[in-house]
Amino acid sequence: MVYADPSSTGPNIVLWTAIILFGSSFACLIVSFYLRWIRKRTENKQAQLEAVWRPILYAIVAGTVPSVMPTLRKRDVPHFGVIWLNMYQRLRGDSAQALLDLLLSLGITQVLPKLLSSRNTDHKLIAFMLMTALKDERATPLATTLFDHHYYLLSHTAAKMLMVKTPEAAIPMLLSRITQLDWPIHKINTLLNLAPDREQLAHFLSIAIDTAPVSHMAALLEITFDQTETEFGTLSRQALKRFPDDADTITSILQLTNSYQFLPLAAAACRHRHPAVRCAGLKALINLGSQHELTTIELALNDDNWEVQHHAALAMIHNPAMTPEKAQKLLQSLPEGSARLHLLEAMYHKNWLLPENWYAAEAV
Amino acid sequence: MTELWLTTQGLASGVVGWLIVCTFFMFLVYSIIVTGSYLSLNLIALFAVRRATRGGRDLFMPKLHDRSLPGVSLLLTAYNEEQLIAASVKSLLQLNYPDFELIVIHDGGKDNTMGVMINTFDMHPYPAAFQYDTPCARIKCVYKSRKHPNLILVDKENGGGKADANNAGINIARKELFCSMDADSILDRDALQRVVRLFLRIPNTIAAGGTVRIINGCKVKDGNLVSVNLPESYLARFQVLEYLRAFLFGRLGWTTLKALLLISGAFGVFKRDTVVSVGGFTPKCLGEDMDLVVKLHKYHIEKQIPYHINFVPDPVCWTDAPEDLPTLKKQRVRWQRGLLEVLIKYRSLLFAKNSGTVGWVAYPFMIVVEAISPIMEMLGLIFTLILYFAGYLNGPAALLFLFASVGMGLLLSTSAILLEERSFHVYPGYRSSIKLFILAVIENFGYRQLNSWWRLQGTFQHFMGTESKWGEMKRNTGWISEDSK
Repeated sequence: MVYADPSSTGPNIVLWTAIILFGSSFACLIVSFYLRWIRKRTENKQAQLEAVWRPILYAIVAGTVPSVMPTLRKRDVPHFGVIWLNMYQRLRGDSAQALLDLLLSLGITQVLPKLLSSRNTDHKLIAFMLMTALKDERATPLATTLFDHHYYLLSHTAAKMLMVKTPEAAIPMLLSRITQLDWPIHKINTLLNLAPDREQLAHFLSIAIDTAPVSHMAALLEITFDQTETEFGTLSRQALKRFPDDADTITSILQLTNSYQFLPLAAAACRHRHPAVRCAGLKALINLGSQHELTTIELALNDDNWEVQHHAALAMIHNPAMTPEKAQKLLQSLPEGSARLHLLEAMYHKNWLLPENWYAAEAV
Repeated sequence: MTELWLTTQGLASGVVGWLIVCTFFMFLVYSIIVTGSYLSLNLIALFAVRRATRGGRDLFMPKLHDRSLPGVSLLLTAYNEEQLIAASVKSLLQLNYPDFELIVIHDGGKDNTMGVMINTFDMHPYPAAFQYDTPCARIKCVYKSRKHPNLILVDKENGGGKADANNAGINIARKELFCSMDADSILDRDALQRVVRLFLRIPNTIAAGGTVRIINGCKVKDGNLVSVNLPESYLARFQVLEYLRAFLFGRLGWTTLKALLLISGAFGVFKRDTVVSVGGFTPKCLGEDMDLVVKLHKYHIEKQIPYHINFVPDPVCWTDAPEDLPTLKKQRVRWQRGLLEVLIKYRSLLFAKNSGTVGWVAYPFMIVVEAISPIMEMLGLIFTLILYFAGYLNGPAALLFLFASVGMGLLLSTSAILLEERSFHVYPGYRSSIKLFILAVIENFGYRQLNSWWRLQGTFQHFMGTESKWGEMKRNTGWISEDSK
């Protein structure tokens, strides 16, 4: 038997469901209004603080400390911190020191530990960044625990703190994370820039290149080039000694080097079995500006691989021994096909091409 | 068990009664599944949005990326876009990104798009070396701008859709990444930086999308978005709500679950080599954006290659929404057909071994909640009408169900408004939120049904094998200031 009685439990459930859904909708709307109100209030407060403190900070940076300072309330410290950090991160030397002195004179250091233990991540971050700027010892234990925090900026600040305080511990920690997801090379590089002693850094890099697995080598070489360019040649040879035929290692070295000592490696790479290495070899020949190796490049121009042909055409055109006449002659000697197309395009970019030469160009 | 709330007392015992009971419970269970899925996505997005937006705080973000940002080829497909093309190109050339080339693909249109491009940007033919890495109609000529060295124009024969045009662009592209977009879209100046960062920060990222918003009602001057407002047209306003729901909790929720199946065709960044290895966009496909993303999932799952397909909730792209019913209908029919095409084509992903949340959660969701929803909604309407005309409908109970259904839709919309406030708060005043709230109520009476009807038509056309065409879309240019047209 099928029936429905509006007073039965069925419609009541539907009615209550509907009421709950409508109620939740209104609640969402009211919460969004509340959040907006909070946001506007915060923005207003920030604007007021900006109006008061920004001119003072500029004056301090310019070397004129105002005789009377406005009072900074405890609850305004996070907003003030944002303004202060925004300015501090652009400064170096005496101006930066003047800003640090201001923090100390305002007595903010007493408020920071409480802010650091705040459940509000933004407040925690600002306190942590201020303490890092002040090199405040009290934040060091926290830096170790936040080193691998999922929030990018907290982890970055923690690593920064450790780099400043204990570089001998922080550098190996950073280098050991080289292939981890949350530690891209540019992040490690930025942090290693803070290392006070470049020789110490080169020493740690040398140890890493001697001991790390082959999968770390390309990244380590990139970091070496960015951090200690002068040591790049030595450390690259060290890496090549360990992994003489690894495609990634060779490619990395050739992409980064601008030293003539790697010319034989570049020439050899043009005949490597791996297309990416051949491309890197050809690019290195352009960077190194060698007059020789024209035969090697011509061979590469007739390579099976499209990318290799492209780089060979560029290498050919940029070779110091190449002239527009020689290029025209080479072009005429090439059969129809992709090599000819690449050379045509390269000549066009070099402004060596007569318009009548390329109208017949067809894609492969 | 036998209690049926929707019908009148004393209705049909026996077979008819049980048939009605079963039908009713089928709809009820379906509604619960749909509601539950959306609410779950919503909850996931609520937690995810805070973390995702935190990453966007540029104030303290060290300038880590500038040097290592990979080159990007922007692919702008243009089919009869003479009205908008110059403004779009000017806007894109102003992007804040260190290494990009802009490739405009003229897809054999009949208007003066080529003329506008050649005259405005001083384009001339040049011998571009390229090969047909991905299938596309014949490329007739490639042009380069004398004014902007990074601007390229590709003149090709019409290949019957955006997929074909995009493939032509991929064949010409020289950068590591490419970004596919629409000619009627405006990008935020930092759009590329925001999205490409994901490729650097999350290794194995092969594709990434960003939030698309409606540009109608906003103001664009010299290619820059100068003010944001709700559109005047009610049809476009409804779409504002739809986009808020789709991007703020839909895409964000799926990304958190690592099962994003769609990156909008209006703005998506992909690794060129990876896309070439799966054969590029599928020509003649109506849902070319979803097709590519699902194809990438399938390829990587089958070959067991680690990968990530990501999304940033930042509003990076602003697109023109149809303001007339015929254009909107064309778009919705096309979307539904595209969805069905893709779901049927890659059905082997459904509950496939090692497919994770893609095959076990997202794919079933797309089938049950997205693909067959117009059929279920229309059947539900017909079922209610039959009950009504047969005199079996319990009026008060039916009204209660309607009330609950409107409440559900309203909750999803208001939670999107809440997410919007928690994240990017693009729409400025309280008044905008109230307007959106009112629209969320109104859309349940007419707009939702109309949408279902169009999607049902799309479903019908797909299964009848009607020839798939993109068709011309009527563009609105009211948002471009007169002096920048």
